[in-house]
Amino acid sequence: VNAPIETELVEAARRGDVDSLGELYRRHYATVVGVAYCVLADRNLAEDAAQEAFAIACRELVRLRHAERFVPWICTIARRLALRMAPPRRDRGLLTEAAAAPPAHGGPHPGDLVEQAVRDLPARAREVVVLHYYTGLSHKEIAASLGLSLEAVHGRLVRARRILADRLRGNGMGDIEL
Amino acid sequence: MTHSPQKKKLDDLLTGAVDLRPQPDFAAWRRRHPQAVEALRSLPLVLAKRRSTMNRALRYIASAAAVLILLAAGAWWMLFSHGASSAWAEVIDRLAQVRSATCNVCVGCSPMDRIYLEGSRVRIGEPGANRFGVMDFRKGTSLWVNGSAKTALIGDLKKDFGGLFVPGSDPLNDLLQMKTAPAERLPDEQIGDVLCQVYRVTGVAFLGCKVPWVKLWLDPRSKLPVEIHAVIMDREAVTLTDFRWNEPLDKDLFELAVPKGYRLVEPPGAAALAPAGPAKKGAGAEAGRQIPTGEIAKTLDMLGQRIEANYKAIDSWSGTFDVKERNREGGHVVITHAAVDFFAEPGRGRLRINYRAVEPVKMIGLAANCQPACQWPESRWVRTPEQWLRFPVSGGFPDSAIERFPRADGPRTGQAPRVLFREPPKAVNEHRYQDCIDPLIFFGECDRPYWQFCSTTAAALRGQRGARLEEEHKKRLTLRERRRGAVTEYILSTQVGGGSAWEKVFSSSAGFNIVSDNILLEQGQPRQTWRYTFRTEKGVFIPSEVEYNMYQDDPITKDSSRVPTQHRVFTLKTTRVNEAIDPGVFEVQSLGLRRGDRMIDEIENRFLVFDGKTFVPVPRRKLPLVPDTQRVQATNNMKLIGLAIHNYVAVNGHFPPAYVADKNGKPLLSWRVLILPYGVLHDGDLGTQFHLDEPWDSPHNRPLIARMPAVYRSPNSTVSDQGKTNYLTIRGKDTVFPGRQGITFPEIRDGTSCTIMTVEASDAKAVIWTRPDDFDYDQPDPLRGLVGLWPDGFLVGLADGSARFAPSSIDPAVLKALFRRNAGKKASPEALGK
Repeated sequence: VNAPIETELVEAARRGDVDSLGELYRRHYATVVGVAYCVLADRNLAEDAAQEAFAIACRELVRLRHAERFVPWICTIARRLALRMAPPRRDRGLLTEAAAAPPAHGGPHPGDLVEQAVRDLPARAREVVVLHYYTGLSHKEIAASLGLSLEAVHGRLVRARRILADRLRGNGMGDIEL
Repeated sequence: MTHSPQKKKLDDLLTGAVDLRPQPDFAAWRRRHPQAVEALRSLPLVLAKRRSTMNRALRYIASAAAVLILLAAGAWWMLFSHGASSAWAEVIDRLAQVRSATCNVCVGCSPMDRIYLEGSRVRIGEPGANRFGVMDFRKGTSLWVNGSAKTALIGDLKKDFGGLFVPGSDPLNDLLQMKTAPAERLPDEQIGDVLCQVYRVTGVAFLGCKVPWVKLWLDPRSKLPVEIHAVIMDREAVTLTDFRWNEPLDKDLFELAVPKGYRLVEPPGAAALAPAGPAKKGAGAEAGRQIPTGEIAKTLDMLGQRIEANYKAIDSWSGTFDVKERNREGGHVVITHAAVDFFAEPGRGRLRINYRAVEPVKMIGLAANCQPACQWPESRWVRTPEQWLRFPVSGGFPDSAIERFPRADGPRTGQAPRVLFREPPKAVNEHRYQDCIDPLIFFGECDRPYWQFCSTTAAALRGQRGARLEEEHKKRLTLRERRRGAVTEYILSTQVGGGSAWEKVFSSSAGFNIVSDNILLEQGQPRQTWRYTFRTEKGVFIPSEVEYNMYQDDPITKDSSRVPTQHRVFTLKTTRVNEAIDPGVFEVQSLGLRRGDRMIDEIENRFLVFDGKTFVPVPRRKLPLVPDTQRVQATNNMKLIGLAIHNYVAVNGHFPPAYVADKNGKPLLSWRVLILPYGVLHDGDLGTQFHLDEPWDSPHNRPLIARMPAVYRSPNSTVSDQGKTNYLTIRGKDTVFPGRQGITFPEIRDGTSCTIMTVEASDAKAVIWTRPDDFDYDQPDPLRGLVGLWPDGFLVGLADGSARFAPSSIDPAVLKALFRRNAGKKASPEALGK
């Protein structure tokens, strides 16, 4: 039901209507942040990237051929932007180590372990997990955002959960099974 | 389906780990990104600008489309053509894989348009274009969409375009039937950076539209055309460039449905062009008497004879025209006021024009952003029977240009030089040669000068050709006779196709010359109009005023019907008919040229220099052409290999190893196989065919030797047919390819521009391309085995991806240092040539 309205919004934005862009912004901001977060693993940076992605979209909207592909398109912009903003790999490694360092009072917090496990997922799986669990999108919304089929999203989630369960089990959280 | 308790826990853990549901605050974003908001607001202008370039004259669509289909179908046809040579057979193989094509088309002097082709369907006009056409030859239907009028027209290909297409035919299948036309290989030619193979296919007939020949410039690597020339309808030269092959095309491009919100309309003038019926009483005064179909040819012949008689009575004509022009360009208006002094001798094919500004060009609107497309510089022109010669009064090279027959469509001042046609097509040549000896050329639009109405119209109407015109247009060609007092007018009109129609009015008050010529779109909306006023001078009719209007879509309002985009009026100020003209004005020297002045020959694409009397070509280089072109090709090969290696490094983080080895360290396959997926070295899936865990001569890998990519084939090599390549790396501990392990960029301590990565060795050192062998240089004499393919040196590829030519006189010590990646200061690339 949303699809045609969405297209109309994009078309209106293309005609210079700022309010339509505002509606698109409100609808998809969280998704774009999620996509950027997959690369940056930092909420503040991810929000910066998402806002910049919308700014780029304003300038480049004329290049978007198919209005219905707006969300995958802006997600791609955000992903590329995030990749450029991401710290060099070795710095990222340091951050990861710091994050994974056990807290002073005892063993690692389960939440940290889960976050670390998600971060270690392959990029494609990580995106689906972040959008589903962190951002709270449904399978259908993820499919629309990433330009995938519903089956592909489902398959990726299943595989990602399997990997996560294996990793968490290896980290001493043995009661997780699939 | 219910989750197990454990699974539920994983869900809980994940959901609780991070909450990434930010609150969008658009107002804050808007405050922080004012420029982005501004950019968004200006999008309509950007879009409008893009669309304005897509508004093209529809009258060329028919011919352009016909040729494109011909060419795509030609690809199919060539499949079944006799294999004149193995090279041509390869081309045919490659063309057979063509499923879709996109290219720019230029018909005659018309602007470029983008054309999309897939199977039997053709789309003219870019996606999102305000005005476009789609033709489906299997269905026999066409769709023409006019965005400014919000109208759409569904056409029938059997009837469109004056019967150009045989009813019920399919262009692809019809062309597949034609296997007799021979293909001829012509000398290679350079287009841009590519040394192209040139083929000419002659005697091609296409749906009743005879095509003398089609000429293709092929990229030797992809074996696909980069440029194609052809001639259609006996006279229109067509140039196709900027090809993109086999790109997946959006199905929407070829959608034949009428877009939402568009009104379906009938072809223009359907009522007027209906078959002749019994005329109503009293109607004859306005609509005129419809001349019966059988008598059209005879009447046209009479008109042609009258026009020609007037035209031939002009021995010489000189005078001055006042030119006023007002062009709308993207919301701005450019006003030009100039004068043209002309001297013409039609019978001798000579014309001299001095173009001068009367007032400075005025621009109304945002002049800073305005680029006037037709700001004519003051210039002088001489036309001899051989060539057009344009020379600007202010400014010199490189603005000077020579336009030679047959592409002398008149002065195209203010436009960037472009090569329209590399070879004069014969049919056009003869045709235009005669046209060009007309003094009246300067009046009309550059692609529709007045001489077309005089000599070509006469030729087109007279005798057999008049009959043919009638035959071509079948019953859609109508001729009406109208009397207004003592004046008799003949109105010739037809539906062209794609919703457009033309109408020409011949009047006895002007010696039966054309006094009005209009191209109309749907609903009678004008596209281009010419109006001619004549007067008599010494018993000869000469035009005293010419008004031209061109209507294009306004980029803002999308309206094309109100104000003309181009409005041009030529008014005759002074005139002398049949009075002697000083022959000096036709001499090249009279242009004020000095010895050494240079010009560009746009047809031959070469420089000419003025030697005091005439222009002579500037010799390019002393080296003979063929070895030179071979060297270009060899250098290109080397560069492509370098590029592929760099791509490999970008993906894998290190250079490819010199060879793939098995567990025991035994070399199996060469680096040349490893880099295949990383460059434009081959077409198809060769890169993934090899079994990398088997030696090069295993039963699986050996047959692949025969499929050596062209890039590994040195143009001078005599052993490449045996699957041997001359492109080798230097093997050694300190070289870029030490062995089983690939090195990284930091390990090249001398710098990539001071280290040789690959060489083109002599045939004696050539190896089977998949075999893990390379160049092991002789320590005392590193040049041994390198010099041989070229008389004066050898080609090397540096680690930075560039290719250089090393002279055979190079110092062996320097060469050895260049082979090593850590030789220090000894490695000086200055020892290498360009």
